Amino acid sequence: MSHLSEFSRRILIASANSLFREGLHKFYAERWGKQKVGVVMAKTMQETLDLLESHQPDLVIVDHDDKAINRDEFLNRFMTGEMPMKVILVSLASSEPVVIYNRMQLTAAQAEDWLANPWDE
Amino acid sequence: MSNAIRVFVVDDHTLFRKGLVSLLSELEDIQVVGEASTGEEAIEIVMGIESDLILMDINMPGMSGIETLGVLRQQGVENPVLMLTISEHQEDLVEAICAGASGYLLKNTEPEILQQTIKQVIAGKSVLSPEITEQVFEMVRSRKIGVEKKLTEREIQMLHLLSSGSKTSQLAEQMSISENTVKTHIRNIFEKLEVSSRAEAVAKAVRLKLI
Repeated sequence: MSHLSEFSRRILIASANSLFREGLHKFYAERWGKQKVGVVMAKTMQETLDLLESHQPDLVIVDHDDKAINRDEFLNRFMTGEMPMKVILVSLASSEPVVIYNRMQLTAAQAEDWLANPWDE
Repeated sequence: MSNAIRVFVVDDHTLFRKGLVSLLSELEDIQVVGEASTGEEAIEIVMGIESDLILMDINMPGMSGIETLGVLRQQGVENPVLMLTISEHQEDLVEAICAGASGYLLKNTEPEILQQTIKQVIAGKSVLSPEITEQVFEMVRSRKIGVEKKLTEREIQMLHLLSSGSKTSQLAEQMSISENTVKTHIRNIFEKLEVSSRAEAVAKAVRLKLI
């Protein structure tokens, strides 16, 4: 596993399905490469939690199947965290929509500005 | 590239499909010739292109992969179809095989195994994921146990005698019962083993290791 400190952005792909993990990485490799994005991958819940802590990714792509990676367990961890992070929740087991969470951390003054235009329009 | 296996990919999950196509496209001996996100779209495209193998998901909105396979076969498409699915349900496996799938792989398969499997299927082999193979064994075992449980001791004894070629009168004498009772036993055996002749009954009993 490469260390991601030298990258400007860090992505964690968490899925028990290696075709999904590696395929997604391959599909976006060129674009992510240009953006100096580093990628790490996890195939179990424990690996996911370990990499969240050790690499503090900016974006986590989670394919939850409730056997290897549990949606609720992951979301509980996400909700109690503090680092700014985007999460994309995907399930290969169903055709349900992909859900995107964007956790931000702002000062009170920044929050005041943000609330003036929360939809960035 | 001219000898590359031409693969058509069907999966409703865009992120998975795009990734899969990227992975397959990197392989020297495989060429992705098209992709579809639904069964309906797959049927339309496959009819108009040259492909060697169809890689298909099962659970898709609209037509499932199994229904799509059925329609493709009805329309004369004979390309081998390899199911690539998250589903470990026995009924999906059985229906896929009955519909004419050449293989059944789970999406947790490693890319190298998928590549090997595609080659095996093109070579005419039928392939299942190891997790699924165990299910097939379980199904066969439970079927055998079911038959064994259904047949009575007397019926098993009669199958042994039938296998030695005994006629009705001889069976009656050897089992100390009337010929009518022998015929009743044989009718019951036929029904339980789902066969229509004594020879078939013996053959099936041997195959199921009942005698």
